[in-house]
Amino acid sequence: MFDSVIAASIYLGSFENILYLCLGVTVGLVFGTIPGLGGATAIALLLPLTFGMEAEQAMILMGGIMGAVAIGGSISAILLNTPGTAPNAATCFDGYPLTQQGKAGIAIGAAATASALGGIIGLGILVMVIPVAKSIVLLFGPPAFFMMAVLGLTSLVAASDNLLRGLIAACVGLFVAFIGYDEIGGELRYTAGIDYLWDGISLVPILIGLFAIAEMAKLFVKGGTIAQTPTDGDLTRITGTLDGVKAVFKNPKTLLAGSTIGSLVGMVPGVGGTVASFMSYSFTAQFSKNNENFGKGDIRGVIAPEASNNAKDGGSLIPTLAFGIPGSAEMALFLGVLVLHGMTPGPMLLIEREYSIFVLILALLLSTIFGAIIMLSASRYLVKITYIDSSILIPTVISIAMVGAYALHGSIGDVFAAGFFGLLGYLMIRFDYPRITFVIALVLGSLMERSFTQSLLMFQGDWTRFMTEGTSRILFILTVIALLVPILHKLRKYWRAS
Amino acid sequence: MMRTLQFRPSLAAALVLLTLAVLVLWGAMGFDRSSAVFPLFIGKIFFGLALLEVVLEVRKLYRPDDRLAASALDIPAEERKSVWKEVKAFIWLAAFLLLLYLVGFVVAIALYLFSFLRLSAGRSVKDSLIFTAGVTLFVYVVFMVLLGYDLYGGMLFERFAL
Amino acid sequence: MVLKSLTTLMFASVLGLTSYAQADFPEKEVSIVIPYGPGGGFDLAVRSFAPFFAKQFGEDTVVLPVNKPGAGGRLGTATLYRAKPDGYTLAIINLPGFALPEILNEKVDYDLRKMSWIGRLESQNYFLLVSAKSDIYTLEDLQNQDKITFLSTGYGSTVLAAAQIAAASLGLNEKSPVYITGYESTSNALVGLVRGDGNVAVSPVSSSSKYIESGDLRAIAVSGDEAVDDVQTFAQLGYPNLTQLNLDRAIAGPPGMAPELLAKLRKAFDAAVQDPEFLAQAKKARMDVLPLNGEQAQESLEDSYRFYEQFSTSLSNPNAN
Repeated sequence: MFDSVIAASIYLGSFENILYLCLGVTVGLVFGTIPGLGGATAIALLLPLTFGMEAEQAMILMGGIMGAVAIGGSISAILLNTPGTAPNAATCFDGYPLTQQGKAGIAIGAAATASALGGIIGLGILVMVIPVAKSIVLLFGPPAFFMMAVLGLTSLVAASDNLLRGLIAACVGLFVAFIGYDEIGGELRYTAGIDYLWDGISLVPILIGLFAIAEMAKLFVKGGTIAQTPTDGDLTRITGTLDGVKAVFKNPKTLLAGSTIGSLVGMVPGVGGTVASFMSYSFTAQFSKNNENFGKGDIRGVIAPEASNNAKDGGSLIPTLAFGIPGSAEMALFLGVLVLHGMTPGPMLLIEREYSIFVLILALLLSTIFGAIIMLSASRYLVKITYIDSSILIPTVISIAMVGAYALHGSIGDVFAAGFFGLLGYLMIRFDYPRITFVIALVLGSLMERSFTQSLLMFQGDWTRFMTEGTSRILFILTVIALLVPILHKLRKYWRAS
Repeated sequence: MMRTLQFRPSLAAALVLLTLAVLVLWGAMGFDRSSAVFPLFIGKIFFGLALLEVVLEVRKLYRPDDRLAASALDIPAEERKSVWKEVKAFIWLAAFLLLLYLVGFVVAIALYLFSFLRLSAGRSVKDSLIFTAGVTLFVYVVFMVLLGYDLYGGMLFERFAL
Repeated sequence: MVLKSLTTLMFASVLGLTSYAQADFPEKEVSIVIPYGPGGGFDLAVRSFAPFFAKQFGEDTVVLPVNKPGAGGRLGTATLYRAKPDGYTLAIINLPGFALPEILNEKVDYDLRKMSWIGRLESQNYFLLVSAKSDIYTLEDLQNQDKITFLSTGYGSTVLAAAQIAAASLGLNEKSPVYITGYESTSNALVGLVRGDGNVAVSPVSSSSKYIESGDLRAIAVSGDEAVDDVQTFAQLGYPNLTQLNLDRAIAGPPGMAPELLAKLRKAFDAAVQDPEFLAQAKKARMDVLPLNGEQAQESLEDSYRFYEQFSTSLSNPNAN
């Protein structure tokens, strides 16, 4: 194995290949930042470009993109409260409040560093786990997926101040997830005959509407600029970034927790990075000391999800490479690139093409680091965006966001969907219903229903087997713990108060 | 005795949600068994929760000495002004979407930006033109030229041109 | 006299113009619509094939793959059906996949039988698979199992239809087989089989061979006329009516294409498909190139309809009631 690593490093060192890497990183950063465009779109666009390349060069390009996308996405999440890609959604919760307090530099610094370190840790876990990759993927069947989804939903409890409204928002999210063709039952649900809704509504336009458009509407009503508290002089902004970087090192436990959760959840195909970052956020918010400030600008609320959404890249390669089961749209496209270059994912791939895999891993590693460095250097300029007057910012952001929504599938329906969810998002802000729980439920809804139905078919109707079978049992216990802990916390607070 | 019922927007919201719950439940009852399991289950929970929220909101109506109800009283004038602003925000959005549908991205963005900057922000013609040109050019160059996207050309053009 | 010559002149120029246009086809880029998102088997097939197809028309021709995913392939297919038959819009079609909705009595926005078939690119047979750890080695073993659980993708997919047809033909329906559907892709279902979610699955050869190579799955029969390695065909094992189970990828144009235009496209297709460079690229991308020309593709389509309609009673959704 080590000679493969060395050979791969030498290969990467060539000038031409470094150029490919930089191209990937640049594309990844830009596509990540613009809400709506994401890793999947980037890979789709550059896929034809890889036709004439050697397999390893394609790996470098793709690795460059994938490593940098989540970093780019954190910028819009922090500055505009709009996740650049779905996994960045959790970064908004504490990133944006920091921006509003004029501390965007700190948030960006922390996000970049957490992303880089999280990515490294995730890749480290990947390398350690490769030998047993197959067994890991085989551990998770429909019952485990269902329990995983339920566990993810428990993070709702932590994510909502007002539990009742949080749960209601989650219910609405679930119903939005139900829209479309149900593959198992064969029914078209809630589509009212509209063709566009056949496949359901894609997550990205919903996120764009719910966050970007809604925030711009809010800004319109409020007026002014995003950052309320003016900082004094340029110096503050630079040290802000450094402070952010240091903050990551001061919170190693948060970093580790985020990376591990991201990596592990990423390994479960179908669950994906969005859920991973929410779970990291939720876990950190619940189990950290002095956690009253989560949601109001606690830097750990930026570190955890950002570490997670880069660590997941390492994790999600496992089912993709070992079995050709992509964990996300990005991975699905990446699979296409692999096949095109004669690398058929499957149990044999990790053995036969070790060298190419290591080129990919190294490319991912370098791209995360490069991406973070670029972002840190650009931080000063990026922060200025938050001081742009709303009258310019609003139409610009809305225009570009709509382009992003369209770019996903080339469907004008997505643009209207984004508009609709913009209205909905604004109403949710106005009436104090958390958008977070809506999104979590939306993301987990299909997975939950599908694996539940499949599990029941497997168990022939016997519910109790969720709690007795293998992985599912472990996850069930974790879910129970996840539900009990906040209740115990609150009980303890009452105790102490009296 | 019964107080004059204040219009509480959050009560209205809760009622809308309750209606939504009823609607989706009703829809779910028309599905084949397998497709209906989850929607029915969640629908019932949704209904229950929405009902609870309505009840809580109604209770707040009848507690005039409650801080929450009191603060609802001194908002009216402010609220009216901001409600109009909210409506305006979405009129702009709807207009933009309509434009997009009719004339496609590049033209719509240009028109939208220019009118917004002039009408809503009251900027000078010169400023508005500069910003509009800048952003439209950016979108055009980055998306259409560099990335080779085929940005939607708009209903009107696709019907009559070609 | 003048009028007559004018009329003749007009006719001549019109005729000349049309043949001029056709003789000069293509004058702009040709699109091949892929009714799926990028990265899948159909996508790769078109991307591999397109440049060689383009070559047949001359140096400057561009053949552009266009993804139009949605509604399980219906969106792209409907787009093709509605397009102008001027030769500039073509598509790759999943057979019998896109014919299934009609066979299952659902409303569709296209009629495959009316399309202008240019040629079939690939054809794949199906394996009947069990886990390598199971004690099922022959079809009889399978028939003797107490509980039979098929794993497949969702309702409307070819894999599920194939599984149901296999169950009907092999007499498995007496054991009330369970169908766990809803796996997001054939790969997911196959991994489920390895894991033990169920005990049998039907899958196209190319999707499953890697699992057989790695020793995770075992194939106990294959459709088609030729045995694969030591896996015998259904026909050899006594079930010839399962021979026709297959998955085809074919290129078609919209209905109503002018015969000369269609002939031109078919000729280019036949030539491109034999181009050794294409075959090399196809091999690299692990395509199963088994070409049929346009007419043969059309016949094959009709055969498929007949084949599947035989089984229409077995093809209802096993998980809905």
